[in-house]
Amino acid sequence: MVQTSRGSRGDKASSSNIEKPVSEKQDEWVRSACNMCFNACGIKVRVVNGVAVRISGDSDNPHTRGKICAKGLAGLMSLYDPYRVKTPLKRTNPQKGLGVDPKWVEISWEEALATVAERLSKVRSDDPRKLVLLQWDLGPYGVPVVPAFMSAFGTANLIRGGSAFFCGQAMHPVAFLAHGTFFMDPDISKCNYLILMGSQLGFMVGSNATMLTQKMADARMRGMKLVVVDPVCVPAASKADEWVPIRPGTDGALALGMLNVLLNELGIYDAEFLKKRTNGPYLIGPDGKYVRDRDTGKPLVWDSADGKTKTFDAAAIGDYALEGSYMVDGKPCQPSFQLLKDHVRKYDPDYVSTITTVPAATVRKIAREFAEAASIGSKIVIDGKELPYRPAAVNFNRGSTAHKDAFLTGMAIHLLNIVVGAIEVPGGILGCGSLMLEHEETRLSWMPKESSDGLLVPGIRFPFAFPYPARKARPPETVHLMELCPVAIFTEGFAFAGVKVPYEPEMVLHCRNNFLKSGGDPQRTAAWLGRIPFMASVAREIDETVEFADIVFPDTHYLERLEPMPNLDIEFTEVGPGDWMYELRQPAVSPPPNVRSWVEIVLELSERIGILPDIHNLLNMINRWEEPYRLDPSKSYTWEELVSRQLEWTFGQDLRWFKEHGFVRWPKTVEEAYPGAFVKARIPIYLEHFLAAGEDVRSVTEAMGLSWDTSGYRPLLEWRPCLEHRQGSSERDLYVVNYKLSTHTFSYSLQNPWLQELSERIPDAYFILINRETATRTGIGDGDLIWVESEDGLRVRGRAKVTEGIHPEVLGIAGNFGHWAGGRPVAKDKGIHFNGLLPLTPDRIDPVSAAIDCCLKVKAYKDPRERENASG
Amino acid sequence: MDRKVRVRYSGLVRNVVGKNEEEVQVPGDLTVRQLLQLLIERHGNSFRDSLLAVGGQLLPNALVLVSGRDVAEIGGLDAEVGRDKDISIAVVVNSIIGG
Repeated sequence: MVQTSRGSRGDKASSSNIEKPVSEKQDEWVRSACNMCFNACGIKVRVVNGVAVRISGDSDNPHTRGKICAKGLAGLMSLYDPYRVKTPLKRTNPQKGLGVDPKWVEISWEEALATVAERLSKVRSDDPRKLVLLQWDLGPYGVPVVPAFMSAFGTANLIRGGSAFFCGQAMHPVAFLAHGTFFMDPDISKCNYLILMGSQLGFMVGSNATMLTQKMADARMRGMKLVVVDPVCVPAASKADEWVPIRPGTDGALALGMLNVLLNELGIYDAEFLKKRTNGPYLIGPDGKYVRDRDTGKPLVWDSADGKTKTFDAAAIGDYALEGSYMVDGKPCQPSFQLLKDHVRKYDPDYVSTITTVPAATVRKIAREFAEAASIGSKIVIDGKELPYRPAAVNFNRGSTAHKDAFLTGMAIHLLNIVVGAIEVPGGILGCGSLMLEHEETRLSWMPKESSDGLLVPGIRFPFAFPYPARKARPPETVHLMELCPVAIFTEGFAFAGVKVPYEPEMVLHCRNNFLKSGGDPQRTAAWLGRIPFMASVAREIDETVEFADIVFPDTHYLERLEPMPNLDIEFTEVGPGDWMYELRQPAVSPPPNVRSWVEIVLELSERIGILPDIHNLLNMINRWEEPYRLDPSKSYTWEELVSRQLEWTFGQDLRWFKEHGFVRWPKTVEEAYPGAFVKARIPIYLEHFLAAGEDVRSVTEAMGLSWDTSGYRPLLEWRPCLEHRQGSSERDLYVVNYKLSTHTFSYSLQNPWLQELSERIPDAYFILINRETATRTGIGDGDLIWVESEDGLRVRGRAKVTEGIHPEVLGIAGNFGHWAGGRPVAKDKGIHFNGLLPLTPDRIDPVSAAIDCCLKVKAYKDPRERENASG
Repeated sequence: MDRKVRVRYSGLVRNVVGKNEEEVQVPGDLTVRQLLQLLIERHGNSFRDSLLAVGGQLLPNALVLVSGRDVAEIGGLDAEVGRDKDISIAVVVNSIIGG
């Protein structure tokens, strides 16, 4: 067991700039933001004599309105977890491996900091790219110290771990292409027909969970119809009007089949929207590329009113042609919408049914219901402005896109929203913070931009990777091969794919992710970690990944932290009408005397290795700080000073004000709530820029002698079978899927005893779901101990739960259970580790979005030992 | 008349140019785009690809400042590099990490 005793009070940490106790009053409520998941719901913490005794939702918070989930209520149990790390630790066992005891000894802060700083200096002087950061810390977005640290250090190696299997990765590039922002949610308050595909939005799962769950409940009460497409009758499906079981990895085929019904059988689509807000009218030549104006290079459209080609942005276009065939400069061409319409014709519902197992009649029915509910042509007046009204939406998440062609699937699903015009208008899908106009309350503002081809370019304020315009592919320098994925947002799945980069990683700095559990194939990941000569973790508990560290720093709990603006405005925000809101996560209690926050540790290390001036310079640049807010590179600043500076620069209110009020808010305008009618830039329904991107990647990888699949860079969306659809065997004849529970976040919350108790009361949390017919066929009974085995012998064991609530070809495993680390005894040996079944090979990663293919075929069989025991 | 412009580099672009700053001989009047073209000729395609998207737009994680002002606020790549102005160029790690 890990020793967690306190260090001496005279140590460095106790005299640091950590927030002083706020709890000197005997009994008070402190307003802050939750961090039991990433949603930053508004909370109030009751503190009595310096001890947090209760957490409740903050009813004044304009986004979460006092709602709080089981995880949020249970935060106290993580705060006072007796297994927290409370002093720096050093490994004494040089052997590293899964289950290997590190043989920790306690050390002073000075020894820990000096040791890590020395290693950092050595790596930086050799080759800074040899440093890899493993972290998923969403808290300090407001002052981006960690990106500044990495940039100043000289490494772009950032691996987030968990989210590769959480968001699915493919949703973000779709959101950027269609909304110019990172995330999107349906306008549930005005939607009348919602389809969830591989998503449990509105059921306390995923982003914006509390606010969307309330909205979902309200919408159901007023009659919104809900259809859930999922192999498992997950909680969302169990509460839906209709559950559509589907074969895993085939959601893209269903979406394309529905598109075919809309475009070719029903002829229902929003022509006005397609003409003016998409590249549907752009003429496509025989080479698959835009036909361009010879003089300006701009894409051409066909004006049906006078039978001429014009540039897409010509002042006088009588009527954009969406259909037909034309000759331009002696070459045949067609509008891209015509190509799309013809392309999806092959996704006949009967054919789609053979892929998905969804009956053709169901494909037609939900397509028709969706199309009719979209009420194309209807209008609504909001704040005196008439807007298109499209009260129908399809939402997707990881469940439908955790497959080899993840991006193609996600974009195919979102095309359903696009062709009916349900984009950024009331009732449809809305981007989170797509644009912000100028307000007196803040310096923030941003607008989507328009490329020279007329397409949407995000205007958001963060340094980011966008799918359009594409980046230039080049030989990889990052361990996660970002350079080979010119339209992806994140690519860390490739870090373990075995592709060589020009150096070997020498050092890992790790914080707030447990990617040995949250990633796939623990053996492969452990082997990678084991080869890293030195690793430093900042950790609250000794989890599976921390067990590989050489030095451990004790990290703070979120109720002890100061973090500005944790509710990121391009994801964790309310879509549609309401308020802009930026909050403060502030310490409700003081951390234990020898514990410091991760950001403070990074700043301290930066000072020791001499890059603090560079970090200050970069923070000035990234934040656009002007005098008198600019940082002096020659000075040191506390984290509290940085936070206060950012708040005052951004909102005109300093940290003291935020501590008192908790958040700043002001109303959105109708243009911000529903930008669809106000933004001109177009959305690509035909991904012309993918042709060049794919060719670019092909050219680079061929020059490297690297075998690399570029077939996903295609302008028209396609469903293609996953590896496991093609392979499989008579022995491995079942798919296994993973789904989220509302009571846990990744593996993060599993050490919390209240949440573990709750899990024991959830019928499926610790079990392997199997369909009743399948169980009968395979001789598996309810409660039997069974093995589930994927390729290469990766296997997990658990008790079977026989149910009708799962597709007959599928086994279901919930959450991210199955801990083995001794430092988390509450979590240890509870439930099943789905990710332990996932091979992490390049052929199982979508080369376009870098999403991990979780479409797995397995065999299931009774544990022979239990059989022997039973017979004995 | 030719003149010299001081260019300071921060963040990941230092890995490409191998220095913290340099002086560049430039024609009398030029835009940021023209300055970047001169620097691309000096530092090669790696420099170009770390700053610019395929169509020549500045990547969102590439920052160019003219005397402390982000070019996005003063006309983009067509902004003038005036006299007595110092140029800062940074490439930073993407700051958003998930959800």
